[in-house]
Amino acid sequence: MSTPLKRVHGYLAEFSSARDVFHAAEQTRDAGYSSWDVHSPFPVHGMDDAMGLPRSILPRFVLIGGIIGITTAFLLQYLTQVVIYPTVVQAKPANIYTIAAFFPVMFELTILFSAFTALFTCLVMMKLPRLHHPLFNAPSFSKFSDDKFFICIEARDPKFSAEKTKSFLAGIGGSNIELVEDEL
Amino acid sequence: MSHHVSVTTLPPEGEKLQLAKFTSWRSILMLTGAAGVAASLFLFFTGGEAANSYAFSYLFALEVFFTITAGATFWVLLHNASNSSWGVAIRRIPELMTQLFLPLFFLALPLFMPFFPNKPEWMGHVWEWVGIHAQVKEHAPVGVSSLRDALAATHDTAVLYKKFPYLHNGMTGLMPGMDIRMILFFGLLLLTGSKLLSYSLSQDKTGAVQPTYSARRFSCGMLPVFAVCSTFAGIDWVMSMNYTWFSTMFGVNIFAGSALASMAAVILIVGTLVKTGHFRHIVSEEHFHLMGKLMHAFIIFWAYIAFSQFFLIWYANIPEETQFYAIRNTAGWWYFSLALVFLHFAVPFVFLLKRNAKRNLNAVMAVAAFVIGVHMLELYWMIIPERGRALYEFTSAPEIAKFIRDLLFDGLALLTFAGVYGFFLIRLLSKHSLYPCGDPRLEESINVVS
Repeated sequence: MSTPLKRVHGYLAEFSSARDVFHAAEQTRDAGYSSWDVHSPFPVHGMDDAMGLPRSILPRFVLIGGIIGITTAFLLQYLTQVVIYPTVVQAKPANIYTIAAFFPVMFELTILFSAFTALFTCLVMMKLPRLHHPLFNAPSFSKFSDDKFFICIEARDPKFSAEKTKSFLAGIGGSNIELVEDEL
Repeated sequence: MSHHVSVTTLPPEGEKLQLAKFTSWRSILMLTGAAGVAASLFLFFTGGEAANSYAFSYLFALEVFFTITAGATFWVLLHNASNSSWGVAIRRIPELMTQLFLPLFFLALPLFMPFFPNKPEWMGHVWEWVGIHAQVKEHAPVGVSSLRDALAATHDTAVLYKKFPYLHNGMTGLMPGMDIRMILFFGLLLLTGSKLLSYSLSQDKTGAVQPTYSARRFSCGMLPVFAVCSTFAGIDWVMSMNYTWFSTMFGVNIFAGSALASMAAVILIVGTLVKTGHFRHIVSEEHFHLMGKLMHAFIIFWAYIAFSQFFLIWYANIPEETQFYAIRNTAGWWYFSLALVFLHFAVPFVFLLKRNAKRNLNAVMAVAAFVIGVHMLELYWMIIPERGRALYEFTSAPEIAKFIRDLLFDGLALLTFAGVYGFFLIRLLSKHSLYPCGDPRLEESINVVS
C-alpha cells in the first residue's frame, strides 16, 4: 500500500455573507498576505480595493489590439483598393479621399481585434483553461457558486504558517476552516 | 479610498449655493444678457438685410442652448427611468437646467412669431419655404383658393406641394404648423422639466420614497415624448432650412450632440461648484469618472450617427441628398467638416480613453469645455452655411465688411443667450439645495464606486 503524495495548497475559510467576506478581505490585505484570493458567487463591488489589487494591465493590451485592428483594416483596404488594383466604384476617387468607404471595416476590425485581445489575454492572465484546481478537493468549496463566500490563503505565501494563518482566518470571522491539500 | 459618508452627518436641509462667490458673475451675465436682448430686439425691429443675417446667428445661438437644455432633460429622464442611483448626488444640476426652457422660449419668440399670420422677412430667409409661402400668398393666381394649390400652380417642383402638410405655419386641418409646433415642443419639454423637478423637490423636505417611484413611472412615459420633441425640433428648425433636403438621421444627429454637450455642461457646472467649495463629501472623483464615461460613450455615439448620415449620402450620391454636404465640403466650410472629424471625435475620444483623464477634475473639465466648443462648431457648420453658402467672399470691400459684421452678429447672439441662460442658471442654483437632500438613495450615490 502506498500513500499518495500530497502538497498543502492553503487554508480555506467560509463566510456566509458578502459583507463578512468584504471586511475579512480588507483585514487579510492589511495583514500583509500576498498569495490569496476571494471566491464569491457574484461580483462584489469594491472588492478590488478591499483586496488591495493593483489596476489590471489588460487595458494596455486591448489598446494595442485595437490599434493593430484599425491599422490592419486600413492597410488591407488601402493597399488592395488604391495601390495594387485601383477600383472605381460609384465614381468615387481611388485615393486617400475615399477613406470614408473604409471606415466601416476599420471600425469593425478595431472592435474585433480589441475584443479578441481582451478575451484571450484575459484567459492567459488567468492561466485558463485548466482541467483541475486544488480547491476542488475541498468538499465545501462547491458552494462558492451557490450561497457561500470563501477566502483561501495559499501555502506559497511567505507569511503562511500552519498555526497562525488558521487562527487568523478564524479571527476575521471565517468558519469551517479546512486545510486544502493537492494530490500529486 | 475615502471613508464611507453617512447622510446622517450631512445637514438635513441640503446645501445652498454660496451666492457671494457668484454675485459678480451674475451681474456680468445679467448685463450681457440684457444688453444682448436689447440689441437683438433693436435689430429685429429695424428689420431689413441686417435682421435677415442676424436671424441665422440667433437661430444658431438658440439651437446651442436648446440642445444643451434638451440633453439635460434626457439625462434626468434616463436616470429616473433606468432606476439609477449613481447620479443622485449630481441629479439636481440637470434638473435645474431643464427649467431654463422658459427663458429660451421667450428668447425664441421673436424668431418664430407664432400666431402672426404675416411672417417677418427674416423667417423667409432662414427657412426658405416660409418666404416662398409668403410670396405665393401675396401673388396667388386668380381662381386658386388654398395656399397649397397656389404652390402647385406657381412652382414646377412638387416638393413644396407634397411637403405642405408638414411644412406650413399656423394650422392646416389638425396639423399644427412649424410656429405652433415650436410652442408645443417648448411646452411639453417645460412640463417634463418642471414635473421632474417638483418630484425631486418634494423629497427635499419629506425624504419620502414615493416621489422616486412616481418620477420613474413619469420618466418612462415621457421618454418617447421627449424623443419626438427633440427629433422634430431639430427637423423643423435646422433641417428644413433647406426644404429640398432631408435625412432620416438628422433628428438623432441633433440628439447625439445634445446629450453629449449637456453631459459636458453638467460636468463643467458640478466641477465649478466643487472648485468653489461646494459639494464637500458629496461629489467625489468617482462621479466625474462616471460622467466622463458617459461623455466618452456619447462622443462615440455622435461619431457613429454623424458618420452614418454622411456615409449613406456620400455613397448613394443622389444630388438632392448630397447638396447638404456639397455646400459644406466647399468654399471654406471644408475645413469645418474636417475639423469636426478630428475635434468632435478623434481628439476627445483618444484623450478620454485614459482613466485619469476622467477622474482628474481639471482634465475632465477641460475636455467638457472642449466638447461644448466643438458642439457649437457642429451647429455653426449646420446652420450658418445656409446664410451665405460660401464661408468668405473677399471679392470687394462691402463683402469683407458683411463677413465681419456677420461674425460679430454670431458673437452677439451667442453672448445674448449665454448671458440670459447663465443668469437664470445662477438664480435657479441659489434657490434650491444643490443636491436632492431627501432622496433615499443619496447615501448610495455619495459612496458610489465607479
